[in-house]
Amino acid sequence: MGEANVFEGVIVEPKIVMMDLDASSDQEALDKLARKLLEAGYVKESYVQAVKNREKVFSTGLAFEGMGVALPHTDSIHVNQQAIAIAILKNPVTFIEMGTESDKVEVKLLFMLAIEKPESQIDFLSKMMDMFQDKERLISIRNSSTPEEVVELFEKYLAN
Amino acid sequence: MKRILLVCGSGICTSTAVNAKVTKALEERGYKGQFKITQGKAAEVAAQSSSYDLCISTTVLGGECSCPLVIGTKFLVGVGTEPIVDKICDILFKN
Repeated sequence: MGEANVFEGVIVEPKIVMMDLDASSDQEALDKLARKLLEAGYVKESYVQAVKNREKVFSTGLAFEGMGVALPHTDSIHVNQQAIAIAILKNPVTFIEMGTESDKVEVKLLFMLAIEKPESQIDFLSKMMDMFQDKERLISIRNSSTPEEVVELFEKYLAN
Repeated sequence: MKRILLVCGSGICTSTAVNAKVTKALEERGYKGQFKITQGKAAEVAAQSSSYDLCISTTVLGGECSCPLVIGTKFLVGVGTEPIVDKICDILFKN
């Protein structure tokens, strides 16, 4: 392991996976995970503030059957290399549900997207949504004990 | 040809994922080739919506939408999409 796992040009690897992320607000969780992407060099410095600002205007919480998930992302100008950072939250954090003004979702998993060319990612993004719609798969990711296991499951679930 | 404007906050990820789901749902109902989906940003809705038959948004729109509007977040979650597809078909093809 240690080597970047690439799905159609999108990197998912252990060093951008956070286990037991401790955060008391959505903004704190976003800050911590965005900094992982920054440390890895996959996003520009400006990404951190941009992804936090965007969440305030366009919230990304989604209440899937298995659990609440948030998919924070922002404009491609802040991205150097396409990647997805994943965080398993130590305690659920309240996010606002996408498409609503104030409906709340208790989020346990964060998938932070750094995407440059959305038009070439349709297949990948819709496969990811299918994965989230499968309750068992979300629970398995949540119950992983190492970043390597999270990446392995994510890769496996996307493949079929 | 019915024109659908599909928007999210930045026109990146969300509308791309919803595009695939809406296309599939409408094709399954026999409307293949009868609609065209254009992706855009929420901020563009006020200026562009008048030239569309329907706007599907996955975010709260700040400005005015001058065509019928449907919230499409359910397509991402995959639960409760049938009533939304019914509504889309009603708006586009039932009059």
